Amino acid sequence: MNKAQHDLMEELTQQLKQQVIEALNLEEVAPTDIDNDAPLFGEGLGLDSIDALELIVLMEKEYGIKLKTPAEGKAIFKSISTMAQYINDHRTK
Amino acid sequence: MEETLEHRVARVAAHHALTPLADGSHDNFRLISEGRTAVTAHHAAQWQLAEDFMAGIVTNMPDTHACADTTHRPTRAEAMALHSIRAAMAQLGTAVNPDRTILVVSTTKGNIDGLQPDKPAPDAVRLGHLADTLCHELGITLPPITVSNACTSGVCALIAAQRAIECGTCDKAIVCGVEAQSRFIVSGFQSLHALSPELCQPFSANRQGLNVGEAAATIILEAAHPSHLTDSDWLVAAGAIRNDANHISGPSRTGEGSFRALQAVLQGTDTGLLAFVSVHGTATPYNDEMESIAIERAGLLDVPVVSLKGYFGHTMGAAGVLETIISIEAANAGIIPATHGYDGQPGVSRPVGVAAVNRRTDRHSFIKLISGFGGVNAAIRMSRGRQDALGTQMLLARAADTCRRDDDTCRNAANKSHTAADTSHTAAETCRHGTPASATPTIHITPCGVWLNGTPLPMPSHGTDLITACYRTAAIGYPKFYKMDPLCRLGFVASELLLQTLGEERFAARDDRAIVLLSRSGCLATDRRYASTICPGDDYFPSPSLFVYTLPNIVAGEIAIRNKYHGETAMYLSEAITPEQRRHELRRIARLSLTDAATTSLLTGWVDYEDAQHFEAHLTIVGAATMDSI
Repeated sequence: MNKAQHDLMEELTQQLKQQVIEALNLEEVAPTDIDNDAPLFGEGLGLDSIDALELIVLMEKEYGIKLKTPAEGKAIFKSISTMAQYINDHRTK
Repeated sequence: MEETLEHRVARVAAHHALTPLADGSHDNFRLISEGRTAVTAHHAAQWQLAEDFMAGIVTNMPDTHACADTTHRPTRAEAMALHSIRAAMAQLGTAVNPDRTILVVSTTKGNIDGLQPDKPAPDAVRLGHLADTLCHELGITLPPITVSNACTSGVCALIAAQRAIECGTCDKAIVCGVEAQSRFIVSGFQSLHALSPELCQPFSANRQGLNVGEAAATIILEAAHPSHLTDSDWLVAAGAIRNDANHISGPSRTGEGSFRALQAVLQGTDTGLLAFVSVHGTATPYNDEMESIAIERAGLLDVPVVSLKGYFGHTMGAAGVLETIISIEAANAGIIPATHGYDGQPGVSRPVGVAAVNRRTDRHSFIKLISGFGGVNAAIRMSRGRQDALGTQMLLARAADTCRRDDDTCRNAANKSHTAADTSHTAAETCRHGTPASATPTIHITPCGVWLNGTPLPMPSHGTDLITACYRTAAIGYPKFYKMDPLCRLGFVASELLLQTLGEERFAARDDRAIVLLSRSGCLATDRRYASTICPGDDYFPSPSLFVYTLPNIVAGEIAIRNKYHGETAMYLSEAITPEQRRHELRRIARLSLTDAATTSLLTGWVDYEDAQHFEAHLTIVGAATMDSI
């Protein structure tokens, strides 16, 4: 990854954190509180199954990525990094 | 009535079901026993959705639903309900006494298809208004009871009616469950990825989700003396509502609420008398698995299990009533209906007695089990003939006791309210004068402020930000608060401020405290927000997290989860406007909940959120002895 690509990924990651916070109403969480590689589900942010469904909507609405089943989301929504990588590879908008 | 209260049981006097299959209980049963289904394929374009869907949609709407009030053009839900109620009433042979008859309406979304995101919400969208319209049409003068307890509503409505009859609140109760399907509901279930692209397959290994359906179903219950029952009479022998206290949309992994509800309705009976358990059986992976666990825990693995969802789809607010009617017809015919859609490959972890074919039975009682969002679960045990009625008498002893005490307290309270001058404290008056002090703990929140036991609590802000200010001031530390919709936030902070003052041990699982709430607007504010996410065109992104909150009972679920309350949770809707009317309504529903032997105290009151400038929560904690403080 060259510097330009790296900067783009960094920008996407920051934007994504902001979008996740807004979509999931994480009122008391700041983007800097979310570690890029920390698990999104389970402990930590305390996300649940409805949050996962809301992330599916976010992917489609913001990036034009349509997941066929919620099961697909499991690997993609592991962390902010995995989400950003998937978006980078599959986005249509 | 010549019988004393101890001798009243709730007998089924008449019933009727209108579904896409047929107009009438018996015809519906005949068709399903032949393996017919109401569920058919529908194109996305029909309702401007993103995907095709399977559903049971009524296309055989009878034309006998004209309104007595010719100025009112009935909505789809109203037309279906009126037709079903009138058909059931016609079976009675005599006119009902309008002063001793209560209409109990069960629905989840009522007339929601009348809501347009860019226009003010029409009155008919409020569920209490729908019930008032039906009463007006039917000439019933007592205020209706409107139950909106998610998908358990139909069974909860039957339980409310049974209690109202046993308590002597009324002599007849007309219980009508109705659900009209709409793009609002289908888009929401699609956003939850809960719909099966094919006919649903309850309890099967390959099940992919549910199908929705529409129906109107009516059961008329009447007071009867056990010795007057004949062998063909059905009665509601027992009923219970219990909460998972686990999650607002996902069922408990231990089947907690369903197990507890089953356990309650099995008390004092022999499971060998049960013809079958008519389960919820929606065919979602989690629901059916949860039910199999609850059935095992309740010791019912030997009892046949039936899901009727493959015949009608999930008819939501109508399901509890419709499936009780079909179960009555089946037991009368000596048949345990096949679980339509079951593919013979068990897909749940416990060996429940589900089958793909009709079976014979000579037993004449069954359990209807159901569960819904908000963690709520409900069960009723229905039985035919006199044998169970006498057993039911024993269980009724305590209930009748509670009823009598409550009758007294109601009378006392009524007297007080007559002698006092006009004490109607509207929200506006409260803003000027605060809340009157009370012997029981109360919390009162309006946009103007917060009063705890009649004393104003200092808050850093008012109006729109008040609810969040309450959360921060009370140092609740529960980040899920921010995920809640405004109605839930309001009810949640009110309950927290109230419970924090009690000094009792908190967060230990208990089932002796019920949560019984009354509202006018229900979740209308969130209905509107959700509707704005399903505008046809490029902006169509139905929000699953908003859709989940478009059920008014979720607020009771949130409080139950927070406090680990496994007892009864119930949400009722009412068009009551003045505080006196509300208190009257609250007393009426609260005393019904106290008839459950497990319930010793109620977290109860009014919780209403119309918009950021108009909201009010007025909650209290009462027991049987302090009912008059409501």
